[in-house]
Amino acid sequence: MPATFATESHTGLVRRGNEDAALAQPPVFAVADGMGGALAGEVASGMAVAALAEAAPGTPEELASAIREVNGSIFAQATGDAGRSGMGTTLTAALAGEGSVTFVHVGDSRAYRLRGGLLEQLSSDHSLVAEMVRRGELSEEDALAHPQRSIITRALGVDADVELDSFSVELAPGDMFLLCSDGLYSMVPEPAVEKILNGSGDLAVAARSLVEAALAGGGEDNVTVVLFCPDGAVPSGDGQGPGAAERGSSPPAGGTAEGGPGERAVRNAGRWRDWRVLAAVALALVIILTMATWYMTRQVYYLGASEGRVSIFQGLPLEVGPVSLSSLYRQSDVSLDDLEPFERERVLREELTSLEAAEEMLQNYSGRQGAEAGTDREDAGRRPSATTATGTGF
Amino acid sequence: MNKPIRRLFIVTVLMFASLAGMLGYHQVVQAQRLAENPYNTRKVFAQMRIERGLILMRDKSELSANRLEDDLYYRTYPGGDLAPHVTGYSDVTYGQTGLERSRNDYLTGTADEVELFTILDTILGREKRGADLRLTLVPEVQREALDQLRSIGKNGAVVVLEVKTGAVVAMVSSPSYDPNLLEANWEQLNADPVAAPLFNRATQEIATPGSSFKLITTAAALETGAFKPDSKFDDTKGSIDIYGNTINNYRTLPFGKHDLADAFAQSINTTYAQVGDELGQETLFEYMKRFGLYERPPLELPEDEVAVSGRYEAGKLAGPEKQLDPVQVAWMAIGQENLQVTPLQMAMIAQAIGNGGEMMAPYLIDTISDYHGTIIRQADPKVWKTPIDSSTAAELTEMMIMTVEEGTGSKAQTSKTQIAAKTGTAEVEGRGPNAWFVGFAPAEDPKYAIAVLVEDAPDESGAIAVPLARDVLLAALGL
Repeated sequence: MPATFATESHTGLVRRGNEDAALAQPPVFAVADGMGGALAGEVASGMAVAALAEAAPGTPEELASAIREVNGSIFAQATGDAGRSGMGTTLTAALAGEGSVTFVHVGDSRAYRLRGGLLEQLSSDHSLVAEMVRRGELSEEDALAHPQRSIITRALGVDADVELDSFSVELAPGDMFLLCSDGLYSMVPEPAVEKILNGSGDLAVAARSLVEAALAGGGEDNVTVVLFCPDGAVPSGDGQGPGAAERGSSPPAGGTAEGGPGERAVRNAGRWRDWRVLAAVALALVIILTMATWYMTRQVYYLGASEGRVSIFQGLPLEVGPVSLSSLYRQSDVSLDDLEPFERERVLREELTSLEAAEEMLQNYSGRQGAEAGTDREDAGRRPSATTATGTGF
Repeated sequence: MNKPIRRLFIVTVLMFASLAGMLGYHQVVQAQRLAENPYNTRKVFAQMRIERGLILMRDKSELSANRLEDDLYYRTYPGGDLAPHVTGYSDVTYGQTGLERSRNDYLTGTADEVELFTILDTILGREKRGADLRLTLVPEVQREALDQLRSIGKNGAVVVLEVKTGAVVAMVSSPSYDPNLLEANWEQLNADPVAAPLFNRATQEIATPGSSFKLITTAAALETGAFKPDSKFDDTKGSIDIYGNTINNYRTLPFGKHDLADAFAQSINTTYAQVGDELGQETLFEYMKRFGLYERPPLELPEDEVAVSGRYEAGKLAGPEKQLDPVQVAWMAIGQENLQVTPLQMAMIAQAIGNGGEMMAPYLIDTISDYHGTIIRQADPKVWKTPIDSSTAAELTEMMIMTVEEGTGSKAQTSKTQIAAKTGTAEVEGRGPNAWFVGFAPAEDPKYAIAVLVEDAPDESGAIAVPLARDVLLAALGL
């Protein structure tokens, strides 16, 4: 019985472009998850899948060498084209042979096998958190929520040479295999994946259900699944014809800045993203600072003169071009002319202070003015206060 | 090693290298220059970076202000020679005197209550700023006193106090000086020990009070009940023998039959010698102390610029503990015998009599305010001493009125007000006597008390001080 298979891919609910690519060209199946800005991720994953489709390897050795070759070409492009610097892709490829399936794997896409109703992960993620989990520094649950969970430690196209995980599994009747990008397993827990695969009698339906589950789980990343049964135990339904190198179901969008969870970068790569993020942060900072500065300027006051009268101004005694950073808060009836020269000079210094202090100063100037009028030398003598005590003045 | 780590390493190495380099530069190359930078200079400059508070007169006219030059503040004295003995000066070379010295903490803003620094001030990196002193001095009175002293061409001092508060309305010492010209005139200012322009005669000069001391003798005589204003005396010779020592009246004039009030108004020494003999040294010293002698008046000037009045022996205060012989006591009662008083002290005595027996603590500073006029401290007039009760004060006032009406102070008569006073003349060896005028006006409701000291008076009557005092009192009263 010939192999049956199905593929499904979706941009997800957050990303604007689909950087995943899939291949179902029996006996070769693959999932690639690209990275790098300005379409570079799509280019990388597309190159990987296309190369496999073209090479159509028949043996594990041919598979591995085809992959090494495409690694070289992606790397060449990445280093040759500034816009594609940092470009790379994961690749999890399978070659269904007689009695066994060979996998070649790099990155954090995954290969699973469903045997006897039980789902088992065959590949090991080449990601920072996976390594931490392997070293026992992180639990599986924490890994799923780890802020750096999308950093992968190995990928195609980031170096001239690449280390590939290559392994084969014996085939048993009824084995079903699942290749998927991290957009699936980071959104859908494994038991749910297992349930979907077991509950469906049709690979195409199962593939669609998996993608829908990923979208229901948040759809924060591109999600791509490839399902195949080497012995055709499960029908592929109306689904996919052979030989299709599948692109995501949503058309790719233009290279725009992306942020948010699931943002992926390889250490040592993704500089493009770094400066985009930096620019965004800087812009946000400038906006925040501008707003904070404006807010601050409204908190300060100063004493000055308007129409020859001592007045309180709000803001800064500055003009930026045609824009005055201050506004008249209150004009008093104290005339500058009534002040002593030194007082006038002090008022006109327009020194920043709080509203409270400015009010007090104004009070001082107006209060003393009133007192002045009543100060006659004849009346200057004050009665000593009732609470006279020993001791002196100051 | 991959690229970023290599770069980080290089940057770190470079930073350490520059750190080591700068350290070496300052420790080795610049060490000499740093060592030659004495702390004192820095301290002076630190103070000069502070905008000192102003010193203002009562009407807010400026006595001490600032001139900013190269980020440093230099003191200027817009008042010129009007009140330099009160403000003193603040100068990098010549140091500080007067209120500039005693209130340096407020003027530089280092006094605790001056300026609570706000967050805003800190953000803006503002320097501390001094607080302004607004004095009780009234410019017209101060000017009149200075002009009067100048016009008679004698060295001397005038102190005018507000009777009810003790506020100093005028404090003049002549010759005066212009603190703006310290550097130009320094040698000259210090050349003449007699003129001594830097010396504040109002508070630092201790001079023999002569007959003006009879205020204290009379106060003691009346308050103890030993004598009354109408106690009878007879003076036939114009001189008296006390224990074999002759005490003369002025010009040895005989006065015939008279009472104590006459003796006060005519300043009859023979009678006061008998009063002193009768009262004894203990009582006289007690009343001296009651009137604040033997104590430094609590004025805001630096302590060493306010002398203590009392009896001096060999330049030192000699108190009542030493037994004097009766002749000395008799001399003391007429204001001789090594008695030494400051014009401030005599003004305070007049103030106490005019204030019903309550001596106020004298003060020069009415308010201290921060840069924008918020008052930090306000003068709170206080009774310092109560040397006599009000009935004694009233009797003394009557006698002081008589002195002006028909006695030695007749030149203080004016139709504008009734002045009450006691004059005094004290012989000084080698030059003319010290002439004193101590009194207050208006006699029926005293507002201003005055003490005038004129050195080297042209004649022994001391009459020169009287019209001067009258005119200053009239200026104070705005008449």
